[in-house]
Amino acid sequence: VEDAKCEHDAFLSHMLEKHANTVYRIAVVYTKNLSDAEDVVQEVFLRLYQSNNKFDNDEHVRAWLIRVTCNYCKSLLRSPWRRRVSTADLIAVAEDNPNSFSLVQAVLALPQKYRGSIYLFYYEGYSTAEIAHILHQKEATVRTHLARGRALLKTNFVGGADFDTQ
Amino acid sequence: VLILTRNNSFSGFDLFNVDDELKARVQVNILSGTANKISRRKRLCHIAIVSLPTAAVIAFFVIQLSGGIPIVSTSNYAIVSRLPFMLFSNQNNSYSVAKAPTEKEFYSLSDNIIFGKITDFKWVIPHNRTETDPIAYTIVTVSVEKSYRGDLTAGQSEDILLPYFINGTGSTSNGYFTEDTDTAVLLKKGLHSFFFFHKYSNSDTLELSGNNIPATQMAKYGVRWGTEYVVPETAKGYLYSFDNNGNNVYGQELPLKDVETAIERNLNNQS
Repeated sequence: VEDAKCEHDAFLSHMLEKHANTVYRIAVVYTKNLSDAEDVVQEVFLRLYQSNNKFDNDEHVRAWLIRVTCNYCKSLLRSPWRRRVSTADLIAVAEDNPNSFSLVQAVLALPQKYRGSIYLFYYEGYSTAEIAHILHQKEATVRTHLARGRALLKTNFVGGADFDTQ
Repeated sequence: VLILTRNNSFSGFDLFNVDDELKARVQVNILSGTANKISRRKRLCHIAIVSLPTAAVIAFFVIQLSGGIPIVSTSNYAIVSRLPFMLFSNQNNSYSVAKAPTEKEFYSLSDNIIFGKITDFKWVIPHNRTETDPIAYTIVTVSVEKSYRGDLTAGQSEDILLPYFINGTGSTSNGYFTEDTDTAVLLKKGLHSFFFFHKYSNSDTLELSGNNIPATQMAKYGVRWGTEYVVPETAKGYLYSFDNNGNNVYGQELPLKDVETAIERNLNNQS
């Protein structure tokens, strides 16, 4: 039993090392708040630690973490008593990195339902089929979200933008 | 125009990294059970936030369907409704108008007589109250200063139900008033008044939204109607409705001492 616990603890440590950034970034994309994102990281990895899921491989864990993160963030955003989002910490990041942050700002300004698909497609590199599988959505829905998200980014991104959609 | 490609154009997200300190904190919190406690507390809060308003809505509908008391709000005044005369002009009045009691009947019907100060009003108003079904009630809270009859004592505070709005034949030219409107409009917080009232029994009911509900659900005590049974203070005295011969004299304003004398005389006659 002791060995199994040590193994489980080591698994958590390994997964944190490997996927914490992914979970954190998705949480930032949804919550637009760094301290909320930190809470999401703790909650999601707690669920991983407590879950009895048998994972086939590392990619399977990653997909599971992304799905749990998205779902948890959505439920967090639905809560009527969620405290008002402070973007002060994000603004601080933007001021330190004005060039690389402008597109991030444009993505964060998108409606919530487009942000996740845009991020997973363009940053994490998932295909529409993979995103649909991870988020438990229809592929057509993901494509629609991507198309509408792109259209809004083209309009809103200062200086104009176009997409390499491949 | 900037061409946005996968990964490289979105490198701004690289700025968001979990540092070693946060990873270590998360790991310690999870392994020590602290994260679980926080998570459970959040979940309980979330359940409470979702379930409490839901329970309130369900309770509201249960009360509505069971014919219970729909609304009780507080106010500075008794509720007084004046209906446009036209509403009833072509309609047979199906309400019976009670005969004014004699002084003897009046005292025999009042098993509690007090003098006190009005400290609060609550209204009982059906949600579906309409101009043609305007029944509503006022519950007046009185701080008792003197008790002449009954189980209340000076210093007590008690709710007494005033059965306004009672439909009936009004007496003025421009409106169809409740029988008690002229008394009700005088009542306000801080005003002194005599109250002649009775304790509701379990069989007493009051109409609300077409249902007869137990009067005791609203208040322990109630006056039979406003005129006569409520003797409010006015600029010139107290509106006491009987003269020395026991005749009804509406609008008579007597000094406090004379009202007390009349009460004592009648109580002595009955005993």
